[in-house]
Amino acid sequence: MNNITADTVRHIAKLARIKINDEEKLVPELSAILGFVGQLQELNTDDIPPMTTPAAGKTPLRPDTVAADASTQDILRNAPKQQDSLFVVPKIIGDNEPQ
Amino acid sequence: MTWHIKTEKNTWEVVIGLEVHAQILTKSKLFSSAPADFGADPNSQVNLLDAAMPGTLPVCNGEAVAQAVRTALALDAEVHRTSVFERKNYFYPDLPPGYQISQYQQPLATDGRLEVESDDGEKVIGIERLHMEQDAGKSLHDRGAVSFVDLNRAGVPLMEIVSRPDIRAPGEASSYLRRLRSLLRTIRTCDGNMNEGSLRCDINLSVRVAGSDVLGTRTETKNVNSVRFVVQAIELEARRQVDLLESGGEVLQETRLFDAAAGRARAMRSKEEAHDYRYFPDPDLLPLVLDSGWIEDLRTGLPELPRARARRFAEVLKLSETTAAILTEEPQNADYFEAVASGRDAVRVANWVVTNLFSALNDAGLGADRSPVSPGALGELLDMVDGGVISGLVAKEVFEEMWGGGGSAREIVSARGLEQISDQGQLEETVRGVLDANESQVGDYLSGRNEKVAGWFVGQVMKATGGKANPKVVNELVRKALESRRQS
Amino acid sequence: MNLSNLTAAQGLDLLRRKNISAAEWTDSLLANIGNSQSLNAFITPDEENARRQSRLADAAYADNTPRPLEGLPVAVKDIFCTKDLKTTAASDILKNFVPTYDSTVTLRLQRAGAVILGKTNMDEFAMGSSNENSAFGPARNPWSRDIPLSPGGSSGGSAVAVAARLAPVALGTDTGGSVRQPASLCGVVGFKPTYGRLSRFGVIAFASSLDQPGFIARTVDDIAPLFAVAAGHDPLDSTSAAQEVPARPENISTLNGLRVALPEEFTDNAAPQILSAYEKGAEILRQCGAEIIDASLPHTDYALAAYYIIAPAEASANLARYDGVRYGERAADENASLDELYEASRAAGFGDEVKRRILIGAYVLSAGYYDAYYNRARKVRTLVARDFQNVFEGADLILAPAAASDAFPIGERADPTWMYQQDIFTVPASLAGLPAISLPVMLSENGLPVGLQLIAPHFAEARLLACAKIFEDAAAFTAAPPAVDTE
Ligand SMILES: [Mg+2]
Ligand SMILES: [Zn+2]
Repeated sequence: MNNITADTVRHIAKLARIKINDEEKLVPELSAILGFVGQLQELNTDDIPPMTTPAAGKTPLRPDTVAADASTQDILRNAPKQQDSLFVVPKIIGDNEPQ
Repeated sequence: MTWHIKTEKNTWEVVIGLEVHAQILTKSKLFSSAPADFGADPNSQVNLLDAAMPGTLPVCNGEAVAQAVRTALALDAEVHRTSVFERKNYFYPDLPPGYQISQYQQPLATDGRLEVESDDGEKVIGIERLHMEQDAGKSLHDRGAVSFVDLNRAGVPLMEIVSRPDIRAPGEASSYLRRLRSLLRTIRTCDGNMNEGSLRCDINLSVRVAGSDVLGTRTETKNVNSVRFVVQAIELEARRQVDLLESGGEVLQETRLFDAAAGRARAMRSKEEAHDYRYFPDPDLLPLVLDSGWIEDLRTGLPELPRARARRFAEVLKLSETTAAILTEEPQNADYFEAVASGRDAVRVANWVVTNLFSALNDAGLGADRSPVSPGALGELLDMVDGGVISGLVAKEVFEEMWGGGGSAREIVSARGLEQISDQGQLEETVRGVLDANESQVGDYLSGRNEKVAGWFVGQVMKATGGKANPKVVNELVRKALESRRQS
Repeated sequence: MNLSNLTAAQGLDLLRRKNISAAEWTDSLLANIGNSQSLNAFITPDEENARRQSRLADAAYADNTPRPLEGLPVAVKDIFCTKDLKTTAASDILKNFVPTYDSTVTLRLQRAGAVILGKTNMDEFAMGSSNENSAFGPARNPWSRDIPLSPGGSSGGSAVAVAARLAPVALGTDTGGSVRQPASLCGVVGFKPTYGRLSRFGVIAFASSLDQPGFIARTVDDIAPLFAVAAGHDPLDSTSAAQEVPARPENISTLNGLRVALPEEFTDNAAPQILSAYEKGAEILRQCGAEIIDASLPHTDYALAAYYIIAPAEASANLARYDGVRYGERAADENASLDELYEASRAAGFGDEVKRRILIGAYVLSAGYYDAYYNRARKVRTLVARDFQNVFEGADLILAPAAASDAFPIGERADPTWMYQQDIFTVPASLAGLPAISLPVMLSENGLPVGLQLIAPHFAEARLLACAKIFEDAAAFTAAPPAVDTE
């Protein structure tokens, strides 16, 4: 279950968009953690419903009214790079991700 | 009869499912109170949540839920008492939190249906599911060496409506889209504005040899944003797949982008790692639980739906199926028609509206709700025809003037003296004059060589009166005058 | 009188009677903060604003218009967003982040008159149990002046501030024990209410279904007024509870008739020094009139594993927003590709433990592993919650250790799974969303404080605080760390 390889680590690092160059260190660390949490495999959980949150009830619904909690300036205040009220990012060459 | 691509080797059929993203009509976004308006200044409709500022939390818009439920009900779908918002994880600059809040394992509604027009008449297309999700922001790539991000759209409420792969022809797909749009506009849950992106369509398509019941590998063509392009994109992709398979190739399961300007599509560059969205229930939101009484209230509040309205027009008002379908495609057109038809001969009103009004609206690029001639004004005009005050011919002329702002029908008719001439004495004189001036044609008639010449005389009399003569009266008088010359 | 020794209740009482001024109280604490920089308790002290607010508080007393917490100095964990005051979550990626908004909890405290002294140190994004995972270096436990000891974590800076008399009370957050465990290691009181009692709005998220703000103080009495002001439904947090907040703890003077459960699994897992504190605690409760009953929380051994799946899973999504685009540090310029920008910014901005948890989180949610890890962990969470339900059918409270050990040296343990074991006693209540309070009971052989926690059923804070108060009085823990040097 928890035999992860350098390839696995690179794959999840890619999914998580974190540059790594210490796979050698991460493989045993992550393997140890997965080994530790893997003890759950011992339990039979077949008929147990999953629990997402301790909060009870249903999601509250708000009225459809417009209210601003930030100005354009607020939104851009901490931006590393901005121009003409837009966030600036490197040229996007790939294609739009699907929705 | 399904749509087929015939080649020397085979006859192929297409299997199509459509995924439509429709912007839910609300004032504010799905999980924030920022306005959901189109076309504002960059980053001016952005609340803290929409920019995924640390520590911010989503709170669901109740009206967005109501709108999605209305839509599901109108599509005859089963609305689930409990549905769950999940996070769909991927990185993109127009997706600030790094995940889209959507519904996945437990969507709002499933198992709906929509009737479409097919070559074999009406056909039911299944709706697999309808769920709610957030729209992304907008990345601008066409301004120099960098890209820019505007978050105004980020978090705008969408409903994703996924059809079953029941569509078998481009015409069925375009009918599906038109009917869906008409439905959404009728119940006012989406403005259906395809060029502002309020309604966007992805096409899932595969081909197979006709008669086979195995599904081929499908592709998804994304963001095909007009009915016409959907037809184009389907024909293009079906043909591409057939060519590929017949030349010994293989269809890859891929996402393709349609380029309307170039009239072609291309495969999207797929990243080295396959997408792994790692969906899981959003712990910032609790399950969406709906009260069944509330759902029933929404059902009761739905207006008459386009298909029901078309059926009523055909059955009760005795319009042809075609006319009924045309009139009900846009809710405001049907409203207009009903306003004029009330208390009048519905068939005649329908014919008039479809042939004369709609062509004028079309030319002007207007919907019936913005017609310069109001239903009341048009009714007055048609009443003048019915009452014999003006002829149908003159009515068209009067309508044109009304369209141009020339006043009411009555004003125009009286100012220009267009009243129909039905006065026997006056018309008898004109008839006599026309007959006298065309003795050889009178001879043709009397000799029996050409009895149809009577109709020609009627035309001449109409012409002589500037179209104002009552054609029925003229017809009678011409016949009478010709017959009387036979005896003399 | 050294005002920095005042508890919140004492200070507020003196203020109301106009025996002291809010300004002098705040000034004395600011002086201590200045003299205790070696403790590294604060990331961003907010001296100027604290002075100004304390003087406004004095004006309110002069006008006889004081609000409930008027002039009360509070230290705030640097995970609560504070308008115009830098909020870092102890991460390099947010080292220059200045929010334009306040968290609901800090806003409610400020509206009640509290004076924010500054933002305290913590483990980066609250991920840790030692404060060693701070981008600004660990806070130091004030109980030892020679060997650098950990104050615990993640709310280590807040616990240090309260223990070292840099603040009478402090805000923390508790995801798997991050208020209760550092309180235990620093010899102070740490309280985590029922999940949903305190709004999470404006609290930088670690694991949404577990995160809960909490309070650290030197006495149980100091918790109630903070809770009364800060708790209660918040329309900005969809998981916030609608239940009415009790105005004050239950009015009881003994524990007669109260049934306190001692789950056997906690005894099995406790190290000797923890076990002796645990036994002493049970004895104290018995002397107070409580009936001590045996109980079992059979899935305790699995709770930690479930926690270390669920928390990283949620964190992997919660921390995706730190991408160098809208705020936070960017570690590549526009000539890089978009993915290079993401990957470099996140690699440079996050510390090792945060990266490990994000990677584990992405892994347990990824295709093929969701059912084996994440979904299974959610089912185990159900089992853990049911265990508590069963125990509470026959008991009013549960007594448990608050930490796996007393304070341990900084920099000694590099093994992540060893560190995860620190949370073994606190995580079960977090998974179940139960209110719990840890309070110091005795000193270990090392002369370091050891705390115990009382766990109550959902929304039973009024009873929990009342019982904790009786327990506290009976335990009579009076030891204090060495005083701040006055240079
Ligand atoms: Mg799609
Ligand atoms: Zn979608």
